[in-house]
Amino acid sequence: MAKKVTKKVTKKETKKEKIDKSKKLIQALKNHGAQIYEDLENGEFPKFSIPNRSISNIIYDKKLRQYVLGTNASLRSARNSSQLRSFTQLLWLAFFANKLTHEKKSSTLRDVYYSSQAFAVDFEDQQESDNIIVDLEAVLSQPREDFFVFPEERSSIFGDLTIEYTIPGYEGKTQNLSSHPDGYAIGPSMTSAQLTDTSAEMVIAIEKGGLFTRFVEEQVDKKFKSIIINTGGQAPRSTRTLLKRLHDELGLPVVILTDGDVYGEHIAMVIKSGSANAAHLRELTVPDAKWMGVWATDIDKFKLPTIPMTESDIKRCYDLLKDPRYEEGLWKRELEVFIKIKRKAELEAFSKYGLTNITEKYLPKKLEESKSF
Amino acid sequence: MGPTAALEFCKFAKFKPETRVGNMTDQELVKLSDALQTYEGFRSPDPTCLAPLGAEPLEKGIQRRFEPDFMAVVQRTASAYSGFPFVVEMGIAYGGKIETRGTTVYRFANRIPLLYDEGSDVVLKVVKDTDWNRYKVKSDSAPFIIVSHICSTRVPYKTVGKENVADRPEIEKELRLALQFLSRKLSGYMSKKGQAEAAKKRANLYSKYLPLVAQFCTELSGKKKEPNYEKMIKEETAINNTDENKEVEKNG
Repeated sequence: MAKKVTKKVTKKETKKEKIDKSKKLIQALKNHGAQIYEDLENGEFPKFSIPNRSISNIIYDKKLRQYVLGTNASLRSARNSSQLRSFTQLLWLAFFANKLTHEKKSSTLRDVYYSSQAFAVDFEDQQESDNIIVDLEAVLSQPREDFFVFPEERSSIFGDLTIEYTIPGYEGKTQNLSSHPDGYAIGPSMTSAQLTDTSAEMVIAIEKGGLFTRFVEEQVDKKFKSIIINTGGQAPRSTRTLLKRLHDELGLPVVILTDGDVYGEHIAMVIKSGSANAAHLRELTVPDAKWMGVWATDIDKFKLPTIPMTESDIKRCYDLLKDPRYEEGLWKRELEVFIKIKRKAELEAFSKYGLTNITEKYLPKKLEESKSF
Repeated sequence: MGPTAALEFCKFAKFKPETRVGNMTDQELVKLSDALQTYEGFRSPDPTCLAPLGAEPLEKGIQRRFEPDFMAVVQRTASAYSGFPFVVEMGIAYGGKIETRGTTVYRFANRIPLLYDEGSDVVLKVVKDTDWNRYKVKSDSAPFIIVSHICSTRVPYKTVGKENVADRPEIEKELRLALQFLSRKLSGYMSKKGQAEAAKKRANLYSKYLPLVAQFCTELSGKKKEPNYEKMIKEETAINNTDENKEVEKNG
């Protein structure tokens, strides 16, 4: 009971924090607008300073345990005729983001591409508008989800977690996420909702939808007091944001279960420490998250049926070995074992020993093991 | 040849003026022949017997036929091959009512148009040898024409049909010099044109995007009135207008 009280306190704080965040964003957008207004009024050409996202400017920050951008920034000026178009596009997006944030209306990347056409700001293709969105993220150092631009949802969540919606039309409405066995899609309304109450003691993130369904069927949520999340492959950023919130706001440890291959290992790493692609963003990572399996060493230990690695799998292993995050510990050890055995095992491989083998044997063992690292 | 010119030549060829040709050794004869070939002091054969068009009529003709945006003509000084005097005249024109694309060559010899067997003509050879990229001309798509006129007491046709001129080095050289002279002028025009076009594009860009920038930043900053940005567009377009005026002056 005492635990729940503490959680409710956190809730109030987060609500305040959230409003601050949104206010901060609106203020930042407004400041940019005001600066440009002033420049024009003075007959000067306005400009944006955009942090440089090229590889040479991406550094691994050991303290933050994620990739960050260095200090290099490039100017995008309206004076330069070759930058004027993209400058206008960026300003339009800031304007559009401001509108979305005020109205709390969500939009997809594709929506953004089409919305621009109403303002005579033409994007050649969606690729171009996507790039501008990342530029704005970098300028504001806030993810696009903060200004209500969302990718398509493909991951879902299930478990005893009560949320309270904040999106227009649903404000104050609560929902318990264990009432629908197929799980709930992690979309804008989920990521922006208040996390009010839970009896769970941890979060299990699974790479695959099939296993997610199995876990729900086997009542892993009740047996292990957990919230189950299907990342649907590489976790989308809204899912990573939610994972971070579950960890930070509710104090739940996060464990990750992936296929036993190099891509699975990297899915876990991205949840833990982000991707180089999103080096311009903070707060998308759960540094304390643990990769529970399937490890390369598990393949032999649990006598799993395997399939051979392809050449590109092996190449990926060597590529990752150069990544500073894979320089030590478990991460390096497992990669090296993958390279040595040149075989991989999927999560479904446990079915060889019966459909419930993974939840009844493997999971408890690994959970126990994971407490020690 | 008068005695002064003869003495000059003897000095050049290092022969004593008294030497008689009949007494020369074979070696000396070869030396004399070489000297005659290389000596530049001989006057060209008298070109007054030739009937070139003249730069002005050529220019008028091109103007009337094509009304081009750019045109240049040149009449080379008279020259000679194998003792026959000749004059090369050439004109080049770009744009206007020229409908053909790529290099189109109009050949004339002694005021007669040459219509057939263009490919083996020396003029075509010279035109094809030219690297048009150097002159900022897209030789496969640009609307430009070349008019060449060779005027001589004896035009060296390759065939009895008198349709194509043979590539005598002297004629080829004159054609080449004439074409290079004209191409340089065309190149000057092309780069100005390129600059003017880029400037115009730039001006359009500003008048398209600056109003949008003003609109968005006004709404974003929550201001009611749009900033006064018109003068910035005016400044940008003003710079370009002066550029274009200069352009017209020079060509006119």
